Amino acid sequence: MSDAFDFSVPPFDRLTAEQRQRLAAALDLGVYARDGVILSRDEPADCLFVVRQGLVHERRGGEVVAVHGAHDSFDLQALFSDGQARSFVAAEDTLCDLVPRPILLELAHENAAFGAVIQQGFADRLSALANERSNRETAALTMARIRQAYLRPPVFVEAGASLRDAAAAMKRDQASSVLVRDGDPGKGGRVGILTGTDLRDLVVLEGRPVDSPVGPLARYELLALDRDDLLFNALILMTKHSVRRLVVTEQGAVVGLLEQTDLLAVLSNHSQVVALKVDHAATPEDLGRASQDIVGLIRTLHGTGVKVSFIADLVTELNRKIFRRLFELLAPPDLLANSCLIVMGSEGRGEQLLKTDQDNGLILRDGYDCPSLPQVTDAFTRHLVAFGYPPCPGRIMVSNPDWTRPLALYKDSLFHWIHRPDEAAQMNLAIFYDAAAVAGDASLLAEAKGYLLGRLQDNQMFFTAFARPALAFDTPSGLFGGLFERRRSEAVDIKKAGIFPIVHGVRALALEKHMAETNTTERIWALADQGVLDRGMAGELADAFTFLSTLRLKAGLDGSVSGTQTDNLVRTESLGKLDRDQFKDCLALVKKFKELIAYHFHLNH
Amino acid sequence: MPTETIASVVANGGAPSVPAMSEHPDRALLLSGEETGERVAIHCEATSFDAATADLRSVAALRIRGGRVLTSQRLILSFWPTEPAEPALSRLLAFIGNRPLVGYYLDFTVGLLDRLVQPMVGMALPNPRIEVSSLYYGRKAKAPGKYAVDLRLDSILRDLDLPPRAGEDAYASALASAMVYLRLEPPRP
Repeated sequence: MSDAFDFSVPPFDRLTAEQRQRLAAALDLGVYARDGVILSRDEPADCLFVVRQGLVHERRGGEVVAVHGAHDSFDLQALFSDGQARSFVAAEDTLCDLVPRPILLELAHENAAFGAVIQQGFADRLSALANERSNRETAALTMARIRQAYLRPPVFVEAGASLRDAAAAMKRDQASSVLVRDGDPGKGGRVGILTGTDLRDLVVLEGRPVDSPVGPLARYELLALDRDDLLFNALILMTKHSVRRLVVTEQGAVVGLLEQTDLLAVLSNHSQVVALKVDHAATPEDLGRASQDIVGLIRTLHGTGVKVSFIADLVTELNRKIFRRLFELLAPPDLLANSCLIVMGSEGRGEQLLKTDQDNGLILRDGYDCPSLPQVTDAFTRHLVAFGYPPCPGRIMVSNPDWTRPLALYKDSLFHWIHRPDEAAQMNLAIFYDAAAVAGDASLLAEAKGYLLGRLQDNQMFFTAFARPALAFDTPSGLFGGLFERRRSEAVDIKKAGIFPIVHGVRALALEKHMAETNTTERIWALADQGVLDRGMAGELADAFTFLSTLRLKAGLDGSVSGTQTDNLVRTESLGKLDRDQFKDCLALVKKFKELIAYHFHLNH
Repeated sequence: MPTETIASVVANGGAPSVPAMSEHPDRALLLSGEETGERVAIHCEATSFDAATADLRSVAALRIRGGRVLTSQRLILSFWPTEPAEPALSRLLAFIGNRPLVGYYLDFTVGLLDRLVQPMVGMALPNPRIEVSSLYYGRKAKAPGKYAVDLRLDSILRDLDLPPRAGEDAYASALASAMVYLRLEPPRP
């Protein structure tokens, strides 16, 4: 039924009207009963299958490795190679539009955009996206419009006004220049500019009387740009003419002045400013304000297309600065010298974007006792909550005595977690392995971690138990087709389905190799270096992790005003088609990675 | 295979006078022993629902191979009272060959075609017939507690969770019959 083929689904949306017609005419229809084999193992495909309705399982061995629902297509690999190790089986009654190989090749040849999407492999697609994003990162600032910058309201004086009037107007409106109106601009009049520098030159250097009219003295060759012009053009124009301001027009009328400083404020993001505010904070309240600025910073950076990993680095840096500063403000000097403030979990891995539950603790030097400790730790937690970091439901916070204890007791806990693991112990161990020192004496944390790694020599049983949670949550795949066709309103918990399995799986592998890295991406590449993951897999995994984090950030930004990550749900309707495709691919990869983890740690026995 | 055959048959069918009925080339096609394993879904539109008097307006035919409906090779023919039907019929017969016919209310379609085919090749269509409404009835009647089965084509489509017909034309109906057939009688591997 060629007339019903949905051309809005990538890659078919790239076809021209004529090509669509040709494709539609060449389509066949496949009708498959539940459990019917659509494409068996090693059978070369003569066409691309695009699911019209129903659900198709992609099987490798006994495993369902992917699920394809409506609008999903398979299988390029079977189409362009001599067969594949997978089979495709209808999981329910299914209809597929069949795109014959010849027409597909023909269209891919004619239409480069279509061909590119058709022939790219998974990694290619992800890295294309990554490139696009990194280009966007550099492009983001050059693509900013004048509209995004602060425009000074124009200050007008009539041509008959005196130099003194002009100076008064500048002072009154705190402007560094005035616009001189000579006649009605609508009726052949003109607009000129007179700057503070002009005033200085005219009056001080040339000695003109302050009551001479500005009309003849103003400069009428205005450098003007439209409000929708690029900021970058404004910068070029300013540099070319060595001026510090431009007149901005909208539909020919002057709407304001763009000052060089305001332009630069947009072009250089204001993370430095936030950092300075943190450094100069004298009270926790100052810190609170700085912490609020971070949310705005994330929004701006994400809005202009800056890479999430870059944002995460920046935000981690700022968050830690805030923690350190707060701790310094609250703790007496001897406490500071004899303890180590640590952040754990996502904060420790440097992957926190929006504020999530605080996971922090304090390691005290053995033998040190601080009388005011409970007050300090209570205040620390309370202030962080006030800043918008929600309290940890598991009470992993410095205000909990379990997480504010001497090094020796930390070691006891570690021993306990390793040798008598229960579910809480697993998690504690996991987040502790991610810990990073924020303030105080970092050697305390190093010693605790050294102890942890030392206890783990050749303890296969332990790793099997430790890795198991990576498989705890189901990862749906291909769900944007069939499953969601029917349960459209359902959202996916991106943290459970995608991010957590990657983070924990990678963490387990890293712990096994006694790695010091805490960041997931760094761990992935370190694992690749050690040959635990092959490079291709590592690359795909890192890409997928970045992509999923981006989606999560988006969900968080959309769902929160205060910048607290409360929502990990990704709703399918809100995803663009390309993102949906990508998401599907990422989940498929997560699934593959979970298999690897299961195999590596013998989780199936 | 299909296009060539059709082309050659159109050429043959174009020849108006056939000396001996028994030697009509299309006859051989209908009776050939070739084993294609294919079926042809067919549906027609006519001026009324009385096969004895209605005038054929159009015919749509679709080959079914394995689990696939070969929509890309569909044959849609229009008939005009003022034009001879033979060339178009020849194309249709070549398209059908010895394949079993699949359709909804197939007696009507075949009855109508026979009125034209009989005088042309000297016999009615010999192809086995598969009536999808009776396949459907056979499945439904097995379910206990059902006294009447809704045999309207659109109802069958809905009940089988198949996409609704895009229109009332012959092609949409032939495609619908093909889908119903494949759903009820999936090919065995």
